[in-house]
Amino acid sequence: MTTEPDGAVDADDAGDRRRSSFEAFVVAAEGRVRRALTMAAGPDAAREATADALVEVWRRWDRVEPMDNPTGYLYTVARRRLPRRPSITIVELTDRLAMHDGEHTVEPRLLTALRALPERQRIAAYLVVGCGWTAPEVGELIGVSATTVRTHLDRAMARLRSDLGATEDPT
Amino acid sequence: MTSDLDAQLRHLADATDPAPDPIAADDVLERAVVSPLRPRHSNTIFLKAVAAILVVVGLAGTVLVVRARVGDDRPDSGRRPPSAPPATTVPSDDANVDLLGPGEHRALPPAPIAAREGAAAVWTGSVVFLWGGNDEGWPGGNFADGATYDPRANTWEKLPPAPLSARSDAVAVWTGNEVLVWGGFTSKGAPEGSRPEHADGAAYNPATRTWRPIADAPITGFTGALGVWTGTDVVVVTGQARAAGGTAAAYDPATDRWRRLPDPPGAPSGTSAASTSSSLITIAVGEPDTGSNWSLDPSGTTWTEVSGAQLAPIAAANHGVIGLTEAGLTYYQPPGRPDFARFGPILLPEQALDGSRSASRHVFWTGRRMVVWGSGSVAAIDPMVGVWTVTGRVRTDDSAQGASVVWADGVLFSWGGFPASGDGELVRPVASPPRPAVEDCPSSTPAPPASAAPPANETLELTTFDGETAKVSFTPHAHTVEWPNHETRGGGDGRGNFEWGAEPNGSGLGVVTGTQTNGIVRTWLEDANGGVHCRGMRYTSDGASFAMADADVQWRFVQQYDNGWIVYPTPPPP
Repeated sequence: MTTEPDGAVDADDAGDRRRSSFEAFVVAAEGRVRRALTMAAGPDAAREATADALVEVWRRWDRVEPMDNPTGYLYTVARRRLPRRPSITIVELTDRLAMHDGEHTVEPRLLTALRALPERQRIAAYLVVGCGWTAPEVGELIGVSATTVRTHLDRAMARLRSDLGATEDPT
Repeated sequence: MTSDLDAQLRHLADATDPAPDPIAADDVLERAVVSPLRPRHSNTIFLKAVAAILVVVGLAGTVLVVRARVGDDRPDSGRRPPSAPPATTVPSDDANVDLLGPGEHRALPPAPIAAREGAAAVWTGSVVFLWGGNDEGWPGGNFADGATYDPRANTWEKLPPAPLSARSDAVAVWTGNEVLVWGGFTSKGAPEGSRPEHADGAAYNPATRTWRPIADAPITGFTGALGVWTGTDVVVVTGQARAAGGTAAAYDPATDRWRRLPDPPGAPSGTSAASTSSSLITIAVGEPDTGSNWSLDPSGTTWTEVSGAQLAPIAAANHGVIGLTEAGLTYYQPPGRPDFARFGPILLPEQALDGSRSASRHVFWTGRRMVVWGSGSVAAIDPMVGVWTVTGRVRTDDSAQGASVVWADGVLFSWGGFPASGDGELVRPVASPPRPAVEDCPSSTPAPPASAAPPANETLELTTFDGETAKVSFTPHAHTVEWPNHETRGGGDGRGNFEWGAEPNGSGLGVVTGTQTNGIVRTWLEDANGGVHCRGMRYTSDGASFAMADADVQWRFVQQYDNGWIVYPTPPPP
């Protein structure tokens, strides 16, 4: 008796486009944000915070998508959703490390040294050296310039070397 | 050693690589629909960050050991567990109904704070929150304290000191885990031009009984400021009695940032505002006789005047807004529908509500009924039934203006008012009449058309029930249709057909527009429990509209055909 209204088709198309762009964003951004947050709260809490933040971002996707740096926005939102307290105590951690003493490949002193770094220095060392990110990539995520990231990185590595009693490889 | 340091950092990164277990976009979208966010944790301070890195490193070390022993055969951590249920944002009609019998009321015990008017008030799902206010004194006379009232325990508890100065008429909005208090002004009795207006605010967490200051807004508060929670932002609109016109801004609790919204047109003398449950749509309204109604589009860039009625006050009702006009009950559902859908002229019980004092009315949507707190009484109406019930109050009309009035899941709380009052009460509105049976639903009129044939290709157009999609089309009898004199029942996923109402935050108040069909004898809504609802159904040659008013139920739209069509008669006034 009637044909399907054009308006409904338009609305469906718009909804599909919105969804597709968000799905592409999730693929591109979630792993990066989660990896960065891992240095603040551990992998489980990072995953939880990132997933929650993605829900928030989806609810305001019309406003976030046009941003210059939606990944940075996701990082900011997710970082604010990290748990107030760590889910494991220092005693429990010590027990775990002791249990496997001699088998892990990360020197315990490195853990101590990392924890003493300022947050941005820690992130710079972890993402640039550990994960192989470029300084501009890290800067985009945490909202600073690439030059600032390199400064944080230099200071972090110098501090780690000092704390570990290491010397710079002349090569 | 440098290379060794680099290698250890890479080992640490490998152990925490999130790539093998990505967060799927489908999971995010599903959660966005079915589950509100868990309460947000406050940001970590440095010492906690230091402690947290121990966790990271500890977990990483543990993972490394496991990987060294068993290779990559790591147990999949699996999908994250579902989020915790919401603290509360969805109104309920019955959580506290056992506190009082239908139509009963009780006086509140003395509050631990001084008598006042203009206190910011909001229901958190377990307690009524009150803060600030004034006693009309000048100079001074403003308050910086507050209290919570627990209706189940019938007890008050004083709030810890807030990081805010004394003020009145602040905005209080419940976000699901915090009460955001913002704006207001000092010394209500002061001469014009000497009333300090506030741009600051603070958030109170009832779980920890702690306050946190928030960023200052780009606008200042004033009397008549309105605040609503959109699900992601607190939107505030100011303007009442302000010659320079209104202002608006949105606060994002996730980032502790404000953004300025376009000024609402004119000088809104707002009495209430509401936001739909699923998108950023806020309505500011004016007085019924002088104001106008405005809707803010989902992107927050444009105000659009809503035509068709002057609607005040209003309350969020599922995906739309329900409110009062001088003519009666009205439902408005943006977007894509810049006018009002009426339930028919369901006239107000003016003899009880005193239409001349609409500014002191408060409207609440309970998930099933609209409840109106007015001068001298409480009125309630189930749109599916269309009959007002009126409940008298203990308190006198003298304190109606400036009182703090909150719907508390089954009972209506009111406290304070002008002149400075310390009285308060709980009221449970009288129950509405039961909803009808199928045989009570109106039959078809007028006579069927001459050539009645099975409507094989009817299509209607939904403009609701999908928070993200403005319009949804379906073919109501594409699934099963028998002709004549049999029922057509839609079913399916809610996008192409009729099976709505499954949304967790409640659904069921909406409008369908579309094309008339031939051969309908009756049209009604049927819930999962077999309940039948036909009140509010209107079906004309220009389209169909109806109201559904239950939360958390599955609905089905049923049309019965018999060589005719249904025209739902306009219900008579009660």
